Amino acid sequence: MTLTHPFAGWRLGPQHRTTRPLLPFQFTGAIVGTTYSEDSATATIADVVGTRVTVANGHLTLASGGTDGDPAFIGDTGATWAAGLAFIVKGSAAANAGVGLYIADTTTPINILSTAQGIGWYLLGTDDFVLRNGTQRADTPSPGTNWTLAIIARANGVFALVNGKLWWVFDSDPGYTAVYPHIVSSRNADTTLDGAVLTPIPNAQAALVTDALVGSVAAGDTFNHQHDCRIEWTQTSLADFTRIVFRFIDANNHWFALVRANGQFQLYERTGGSTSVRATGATNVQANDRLVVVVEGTTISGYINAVAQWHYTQATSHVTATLGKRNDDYSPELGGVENLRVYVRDVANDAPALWNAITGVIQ
Amino acid sequence: MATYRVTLMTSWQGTGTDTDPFRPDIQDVQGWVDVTGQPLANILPAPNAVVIAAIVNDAQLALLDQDDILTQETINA
Repeated sequence: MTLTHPFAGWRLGPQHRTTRPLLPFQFTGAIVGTTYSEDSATATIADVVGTRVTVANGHLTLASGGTDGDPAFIGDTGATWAAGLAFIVKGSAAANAGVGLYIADTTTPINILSTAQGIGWYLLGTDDFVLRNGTQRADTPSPGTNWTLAIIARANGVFALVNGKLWWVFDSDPGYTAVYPHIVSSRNADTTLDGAVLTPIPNAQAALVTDALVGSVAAGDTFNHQHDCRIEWTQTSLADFTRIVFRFIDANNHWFALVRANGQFQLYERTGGSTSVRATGATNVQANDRLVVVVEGTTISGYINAVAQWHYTQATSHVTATLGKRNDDYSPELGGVENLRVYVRDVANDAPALWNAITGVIQ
Repeated sequence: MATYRVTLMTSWQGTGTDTDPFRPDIQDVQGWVDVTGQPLANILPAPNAVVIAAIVNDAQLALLDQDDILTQETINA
């Protein structure tokens, strides 16, 4: 069996190469053996005693000791700093452990805490702070012991998410264009990493959730949205009816997307107590399809599994309303709905508190 | 099977209630969008008319031709 390791494309920092350094580009067969080549695409690993990096069950552990801020892993593949670039690490740490997550402008291993031309974030036990070029810029809350850390570039700055919640925002041009991810170690307790990626997010805004209804969504469950937003949910079963309401003012004034028992996917407007169908999809919804409604200005679009179904461009009613819900004004409401999420459409002028989730990169 | 992007002018049906909403008076066309965007408050003036855009197949196009509500057609793909 060949297993592509989540650290493929990374190399060890120099201080981790001293004794039986390991490079888990890719594992072939069982994780046993002794050979290692830094430039090899394949490494088999046996005796890990003496090294500060260990591998077991697909996880990689940075052992305690050494110097804070020394890069343990450096991404060999650079990227261009651009809005939507995300550097994401998933892992866990014992109490008082630490790990750093940086985007730097060099592949040369450097001590991030002193001389780095980079921007990032360093966790050390309960102390957690943001650095830019070696200078502490902000204190942030501790993320706890299990986390998905994400640094996401914007056009002229950067923000970070922990476990889907906004952690900090740094509104400043990084000053460079080529970036390389660095993971740095701490001198405290061990840190275990499950995966690391430097990846573009097609749309920086697409990963930003402003509200979510986790699990089954019942009639009357409400959510908030910006008047321009993206709403999506999983249609777990078909029955008459499913109505996801948005731009809701009152029972007589709102919009809703409707799914019928036969799978028909429609856009409805309700104004002044009158109701009209404004669009109907050409494709029927199937159970467990992911449905998306994008509301932007006077255009409302519907998608089934990312396939466009309708674009209604005359949605001039209720354009500033920001409340949504699963319908409870009409009945029946019997379709199965789960995991509804609401995303922003434009983060350019939004308060950072709106950003509270990231999905779809590391599950 | 060829598909066609069509624009249709037809009349409204329904009474505007949640169980009988206003909707274009069409059959045989499932995927469509209201192009007119007429406000609900005056959706039934005289004349009673609505324009929709839709994508149809050959059979649906033939049926629409018979209904004489087809105002424009373009081969889509």
